[in-house]
Formats: sequence, structure tokens, C-alpha cells
Amino acid sequence: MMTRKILYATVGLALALAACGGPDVARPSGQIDDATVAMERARQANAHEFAAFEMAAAERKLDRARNLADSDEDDERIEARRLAEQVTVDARLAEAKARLAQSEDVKAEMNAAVEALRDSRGGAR
Amino acid sequence: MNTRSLWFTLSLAAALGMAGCASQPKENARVAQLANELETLKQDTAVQAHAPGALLDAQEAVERAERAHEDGDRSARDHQIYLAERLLETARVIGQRGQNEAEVSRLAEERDRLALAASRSKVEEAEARARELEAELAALEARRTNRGLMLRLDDVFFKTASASIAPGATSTLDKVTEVLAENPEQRVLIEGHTDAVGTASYNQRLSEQRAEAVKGLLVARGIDAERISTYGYGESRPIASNENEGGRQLNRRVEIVFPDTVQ
Repeated sequence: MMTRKILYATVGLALALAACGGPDVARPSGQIDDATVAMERARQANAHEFAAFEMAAAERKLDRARNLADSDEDDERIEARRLAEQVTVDARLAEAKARLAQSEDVKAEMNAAVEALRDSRGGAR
Repeated sequence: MNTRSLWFTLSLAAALGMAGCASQPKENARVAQLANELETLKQDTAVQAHAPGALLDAQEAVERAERAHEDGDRSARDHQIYLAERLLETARVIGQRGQNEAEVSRLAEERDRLALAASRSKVEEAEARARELEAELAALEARRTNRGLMLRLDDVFFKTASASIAPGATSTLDKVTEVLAENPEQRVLIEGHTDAVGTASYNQRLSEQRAEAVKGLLVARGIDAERISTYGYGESRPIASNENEGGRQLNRRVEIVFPDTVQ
């Protein structure tokens, strides 16, 4: 029957489109929450001090994601989700860089302490 | 519109949709580069040791970028490339930090070891100095007492009722000067004594003056006065009889104590 064929074809088309990865157009609340938490972690690691430019850019992106999240346009909500996901990885990188810079400082201090002890021992002998 | 043409239209649309999915796009340079960087990081021992979680996140991001590329979704692909690049860099940075922290704990151990060795060698040096001093003073017949080494100045003589040192040989005092010059941390206590001629209070004062006289000689030879204390015992500690001049001569004396410096 023709109607049955139409039904199959319609289902097939729907499946085909779904397989291509239909856009997730829900409000990206989870992604914005993740981004907010990641930014807070970065701030606590003093990322503003060690990765100032990256942090400022991420702040702006997160503001924009929040503004677009409630848009009626699918495209804008997708953009909001992507921005939030970017902020999360930006913040993680800024946090990692800040902690790396701090570990460099500690290492330099420790190296100086060991050198000073080596020198004083060398001088005494 | 008849059903046949509708069916045809829908089938065509479905076929095109499938074709959109199935088409094999040529390799994307940035995606390929991400895969290379991922392989490099997987071989990085610092990343393996300190950033396994971040490495896994980066790997998943690279795989999403590859899938988005295969799906032909450019904006999704570019988005996933952005995420993957930063997650790869994050894993690399965390690995480096872990390496730094491992280096810091290694350095901390070395610092503690060096500090311990330094404090040990200080104690050893002090003990060696004390042994040297003892050997030098032993040559002068210094006696070990519970207050330290005690040396009787056997070539410094006083007349009765006098604190002035009779001129003569001063080899013992020369040696004391030398020992003090070689051991700048060493302090000395100079103690004066008298015979029993005269009143006790007069002799007390006289014994102090005798100790001061010896101190004056050492200071004149360049020993810092700050290192020298004096004390008078008067006639209270005779070492010989006060009944004859020989004994009294022995009692009119000055002794030098070298207090132990090592705790």
C-alpha cells in the first residue's frame, strides 16, 4: 500500500537526519554551570594573575553564552552551548597554567635553597 | 500531488540525507595535527604520570573532532578542534606541573640532607677544636676538671702582698696566648689566689688584682678582653702549707680555666 510506503519513507528520513546529528537545541544550562564552576576554580588558582588575558576573554564569552542561552533561535542556543563549552576548557587551561607558574616559582626557590647550602658547605671545607 | 510523486520526493530526500552522512571528506590538516599531538602526549612520561585524566579528556575531544569532520559538519568540527586543542595543552601543562612538583620534593629532600650534614659538620668541627685545645694544653700540664681544663701558671710569680708579676720567663703564658689566638671562640676564666699572710679581706682584694694583672698581660698580647673573666679566691684555696715560704710561694698563684665550649 502506498500509505505504508509513505510511512516507512518518512521514518527513514527522520532516522537519516537523526544519524547526521540533529542539533541539540535545549537551553545549555548544564554547560553554563560547568563553565561557571571551571571559572571559579581558575580564579581560586589565581589565574587572573598568571593568565590575565585568557581569563578576561573567557569572562566575556561566558557573559555572551548566558545572554544567548535563553534565545528563541536554535542557532543562538547552539552558539551559547559552544561558548560555554569553550569557556570550560579555557578556564581549565588558565588554571593549569597558573598552577604551573606557581610550581615554577616554588622550584626556583627550592633550587636556590639547595645551592646556598651547597655553597656554604663548599666554603667551610 | 499524487502519492507516488510524494513517495518519490521523500525517498530522494532520504537518499540525499544519507549521502550527506556517508560522504568521505578528505583528511583535515588540523584534525590530523590534533591526532599527532595526542600521540605525542600519550608517549610523554610526565603526562602519563601526572595528567591521566586530562589526557583522557583530550583524547575524547580529539575523537569528537574527528567524528565532526567525518560528518562534514564544519562548525561542529571547528568547535571540537577548539576544545581539543585546549584540552591537549591543559594535559601537557598539568604534566609539566607534576614534573615540577616531583622535582621540588626531590630538592626538598636534598635540602634537608644538606642541612643535616651542615649541622653535623658544625658539631664535628667543635669537637675537633676541643680535642686540639686539650692536646695543646695537655702539653702545659693542664688538668681536666669538671669546669673544663685548668692550667696553673707555673712561671708567673708574685711577692707577698703584691699583684705585680715578677719579670722572667713567660713561656706558659706565651703558649696560652697562642692557644687563645688559634681558638677565637674559646673563653677563659682567670682565678687569683694568695697565701695566708694578712687579713682575709685584704687577700680577697689582692687575689682579684693578681687575676686582673694576668688578664692585662693577655690583653697586651692582643687577646680580646671580652673573652676573659677574672675571679679572686683570696686565701681560701691553698694548694700547699702556709707554714713555710716554699708553700706560701705555691699558694700565691694564678690559674686559668678553659671552660668546655661544646654542649
